[in-house]
Amino acid sequence: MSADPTSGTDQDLLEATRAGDESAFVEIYRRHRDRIYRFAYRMTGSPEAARDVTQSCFVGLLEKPSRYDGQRASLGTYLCGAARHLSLRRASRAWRERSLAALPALRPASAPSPLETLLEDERARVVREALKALAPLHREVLILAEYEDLDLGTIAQIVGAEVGAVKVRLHRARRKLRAALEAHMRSGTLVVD
Amino acid sequence: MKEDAKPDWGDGPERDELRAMLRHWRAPQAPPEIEDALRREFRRRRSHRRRALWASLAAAATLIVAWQMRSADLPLRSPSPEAPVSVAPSLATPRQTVEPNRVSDSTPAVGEPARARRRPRPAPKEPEVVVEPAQAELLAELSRKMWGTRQAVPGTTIPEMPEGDLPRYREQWETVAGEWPLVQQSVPLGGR
Repeated sequence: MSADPTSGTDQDLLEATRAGDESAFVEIYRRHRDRIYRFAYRMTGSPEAARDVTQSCFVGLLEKPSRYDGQRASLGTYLCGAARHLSLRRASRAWRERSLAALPALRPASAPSPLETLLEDERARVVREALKALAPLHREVLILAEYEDLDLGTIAQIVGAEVGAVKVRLHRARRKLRAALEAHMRSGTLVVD
Repeated sequence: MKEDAKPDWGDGPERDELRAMLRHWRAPQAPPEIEDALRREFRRRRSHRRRALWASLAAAATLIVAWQMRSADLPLRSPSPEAPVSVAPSLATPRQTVEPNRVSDSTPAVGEPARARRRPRPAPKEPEVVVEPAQAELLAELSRKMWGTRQAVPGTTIPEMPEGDLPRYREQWETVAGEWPLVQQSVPLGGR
């Protein structure tokens, strides 16, 4: 591996990782950690579960690097698919058991005032609960499309479905989410910036 | 109009509106302890892999040394220093064929270590048997039938008759010569 691991492609870094280069592995992690963690967090609703899912994804890459086929998908898509698989396993259990209200409050980096912070937390709670009400298959496509800005083809690769099926799921997810949020929008809890 | 057929928030201001609402829920950044844990896991696996590699190398070296010691030990067990013994016999080496009634006492062929270790002992001297020419063939055939003599497999010897059971023709010939059945006596010997 070259001296600067950040310049290599994912495939180069993976080869270097197989050869025992720790910096290459860390570079792979740094490139993909945010998307994987965000996705796992929104799927499971728990920072602890998201941390475990993220860690398991990359440990899986260490354990069985041959499972990743660079001809079929990018490394990010592969990791996202692994995170989705792990999240779905946890979501069925953890999403029921944990109360989302008990999650640590997600405060914006610059909260101007306690009132604004309170309002922002309330909006976040409303959105979380609306997403929580969606079926996991609808929730995952909505998160990937709306939060991660992935195209339909990539989403189809991640969730292992046809593009047409992804379109249908996305359409239904948006419709249900809108129905869940409309009451809050009318009451003024949710405001569009 | 079916509910599914309603226009969704695919594009345009409706989708922007949805996104704006969804942005209220921000996801935190990945905690730094994940990277530390992954680094530890990577080092643990790497050291484990190296240990496994060294262990396999040591095992291979031990096997090689043991093999060399064994191959160095083999010629010492060879009965004759002038007959070199091949350590690894080749399967492609044609085996020496042995004639059916032949007791091989020749020098063992190279490439057959099992035979090289066993030097064939000289067959014990059989007592001299004096019989008539035709009877000699009959006796030989009889002895083959009695002792189950068959075509000798390469590398084997014909079974030997126990010494005590050999017929003592010379001593008993005189006593049994006059006791042939009548049918034997009636054969005209000099009639032609």
